[in-house]
Amino acid sequence: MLGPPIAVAVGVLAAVANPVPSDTNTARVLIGALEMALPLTAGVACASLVGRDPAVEIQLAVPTPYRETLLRRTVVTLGWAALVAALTAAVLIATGWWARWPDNHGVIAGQLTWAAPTLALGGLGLAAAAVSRSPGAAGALVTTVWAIQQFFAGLAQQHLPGRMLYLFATTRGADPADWTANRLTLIAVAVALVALALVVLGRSERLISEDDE
Amino acid sequence: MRIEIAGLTKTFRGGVAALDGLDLTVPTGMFGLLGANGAGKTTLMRILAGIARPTAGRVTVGGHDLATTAGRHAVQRGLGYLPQDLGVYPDLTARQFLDYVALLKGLDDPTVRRRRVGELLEVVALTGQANRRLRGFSGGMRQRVGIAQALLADPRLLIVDEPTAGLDPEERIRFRTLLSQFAGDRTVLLSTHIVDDIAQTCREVAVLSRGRLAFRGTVESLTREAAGRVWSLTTAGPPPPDGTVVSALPAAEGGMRYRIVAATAPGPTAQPLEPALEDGYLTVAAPERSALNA
Repeated sequence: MLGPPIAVAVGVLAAVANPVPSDTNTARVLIGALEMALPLTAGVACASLVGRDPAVEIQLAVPTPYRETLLRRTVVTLGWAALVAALTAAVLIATGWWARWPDNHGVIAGQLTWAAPTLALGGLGLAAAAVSRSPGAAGALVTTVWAIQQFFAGLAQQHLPGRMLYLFATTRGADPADWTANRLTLIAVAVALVALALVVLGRSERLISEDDE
Repeated sequence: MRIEIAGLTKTFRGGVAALDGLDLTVPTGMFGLLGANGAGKTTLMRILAGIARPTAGRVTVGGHDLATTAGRHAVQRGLGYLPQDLGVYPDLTARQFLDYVALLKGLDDPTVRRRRVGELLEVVALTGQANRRLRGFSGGMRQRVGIAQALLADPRLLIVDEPTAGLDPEERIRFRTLLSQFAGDRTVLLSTHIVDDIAQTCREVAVLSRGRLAFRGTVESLTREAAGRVWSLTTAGPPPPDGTVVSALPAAEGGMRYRIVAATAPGPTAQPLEPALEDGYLTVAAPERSALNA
């Protein structure tokens, strides 16, 4: 849990230690860490929430619905990611690095840089884990989606649907005019994926093994 | 809480029937459920705990229909459940784990919760270990944490699935005594394949075999099922092929002395014996083997 914040903090400190006013590349890397590294971490963490609970049978037999418990764990996981992101963004804003990236979309709306992909990959991780019951498979799916968008960025943005679902529109976006719609689309997708996960998790029987009988 | 089960069927993917048209009534008090591994006990326990859904049939617990969400929630509010494979969070201490489960069971008041957790740690003799991480607990100690979590909300229905597996004799006796004391006007459903646990705690018992009800009645009547079918046979050779060997002891005069459940005498020198509960269980749970000798 401490790895990502420490890594981001070290990066920020290193960048702050050598400020060059026109250094947009470093600014892009720093904001890119928020847009790329943090969402991937959050997505994989959400993917590990389902399928590894050693006390799942006790959880399923108590009056508190297990999906409610999992939703709370998801909120804590994403909340932790949001806290790290918000603190990092605050440092970048205070040190002027935020403003150095021309497509930063402002201090307030610009926070969607990390919030939208973090929610989208978090939702994807949770939904994939709920459907597959395998944290490994769900984590692999999140990583694959992330890697495809990294390595085939141009291909992913050739058409409107691809641009709307592109995770890294702030630092690698093909068309800045699509940015707001892209961020809102990602959030909507995240809400849909979490809703799907909650529906699937409502079928408690899927969460226990049949092998014991 | 009276449990009424009618025509209960549970079929898993691939057409494997864990329960096959089960009809059973469980009254208030201690009730034993016997059966071999794979007989359907765990599936039945999970259905009664609201974890698994039946493929067909009807189950009511204290008048609540488990086919409905409201019914399942109502049952779970008064349920204590100790699963066969008790999983715990290894990084939590015993007290933290019980506190967490208590929260999930709706004990929202921290003062009440702390008091209840403390009482149960005392009951299961873990007060001195309460602040140790569960990672370092032995199987018996974890099982004691398991029974403590099951009792947290003072349940009206307690379902315990193979609770004494892995416990040493002293812990087994302590556990059985605890269950018997707890039962009172509650329903305690004890599922096990250890016949002695039933003999020491239950008046009534059901035997499952391949997902069906093979017997339901008192412990005494289950014992009587084996009347005239229990034999002692001393032989230097292998045990007879027919019947079920219950025990084998080296005989003082040489050879082995077998205790055998069989419909007819397994040999000319076989001597009839008084049946025990285990003999009755084997008679009803494995009738096809006894039938070979009929």
